[in-house]
Amino acid sequence: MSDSHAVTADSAPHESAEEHESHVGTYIKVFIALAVLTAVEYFYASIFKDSFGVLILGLMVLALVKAGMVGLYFMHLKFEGRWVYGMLVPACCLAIILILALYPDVTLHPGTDAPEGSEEEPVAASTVEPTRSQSRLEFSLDLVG
Amino acid sequence: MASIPYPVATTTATRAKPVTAPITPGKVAMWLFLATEIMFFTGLIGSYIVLRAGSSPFYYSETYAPGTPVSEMATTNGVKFFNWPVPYDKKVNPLSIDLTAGNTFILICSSVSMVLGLAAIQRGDKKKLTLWLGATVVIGSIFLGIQVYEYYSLMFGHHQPIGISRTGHFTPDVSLFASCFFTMTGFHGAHVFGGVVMLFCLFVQSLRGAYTQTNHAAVELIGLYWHFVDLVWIILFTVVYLV
Repeated sequence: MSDSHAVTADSAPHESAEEHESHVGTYIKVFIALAVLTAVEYFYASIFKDSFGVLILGLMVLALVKAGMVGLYFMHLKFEGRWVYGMLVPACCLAIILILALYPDVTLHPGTDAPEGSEEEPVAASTVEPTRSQSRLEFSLDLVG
Repeated sequence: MASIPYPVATTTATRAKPVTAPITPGKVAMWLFLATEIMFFTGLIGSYIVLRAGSSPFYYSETYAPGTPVSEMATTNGVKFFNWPVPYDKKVNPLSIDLTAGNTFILICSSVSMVLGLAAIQRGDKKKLTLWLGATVVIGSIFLGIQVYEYYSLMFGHHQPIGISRTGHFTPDVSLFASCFFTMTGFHGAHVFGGVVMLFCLFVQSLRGAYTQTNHAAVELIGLYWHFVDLVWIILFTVVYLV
């Protein structure tokens, strides 16, 4: 894990005050950006609350940008060597695999099956007449009962 | 263990190339720990997605308590059903987005104060380190206080509509939504609490003058943890409250 560009302890005191001040300036800019993005999230969510696809797409992009800024600047990932990515990338890959492994549970559950003979697609909010076969809770209650 | 400031400087020998931060055993250990934390919260969020997607389209409504069997409903005509409580609908979703957006901003502020504290000790300014650490402890405690207030309001403070809870109290046992909410935010809150305790210890140590420009590894490592907690909250705020 050697790093040819690593700064040594001896070099630390030589850092100029201007360079430290420039970092503080960067932190303040990131803070302002995070605050603005949080406000954008807040208003975006209230504006697109009825459009689920647009809502989740926009909000996840905003959240990932914010998380990226915290990681890159506050956690100093931008200044770390490649070694740190050797730990983070496998963890993130495993996290993605975990989510993908759960995907069948998301898509193949009985709870949103349309009634037999119906071509109706599952919906998030519905005013249609529910049937017994559509309620997983009732199914569970039947088992208990 | 001696700690080295982040490589903002470019020495004469390395001016042409970007400088990377040094590797220390403590930092490797902390990043490994954070990698496990990524998996931990991914497990929580993944479970949330499965439970949410698998929830019956008729589980929530403004008229009946969550999970009311269809056979017990007097009528379903004109009743609007949901598979998950939608944000901003106070008849099915009791969460206050206004309050939590403010709390999110507060946690971001604590991250900034933490990183400014680290920057201060990197240039040898012990007084400012103590000041920023104290500010971080206070702001982190405010975040926790608001979360406790939120929990109290949800569980005991207000009588919730029937679409939220059969009992009138939003407790973890009233619905899948409630149990997911309390599990995810509760585990995050526990992480924040642990962070505040560690930051308080740092603050006490800094009052004693324990940290110097070349010896502040603990500030750096606990700072990493604190920023990670902030990062996780950014995701949770979106997933749990806004979507």
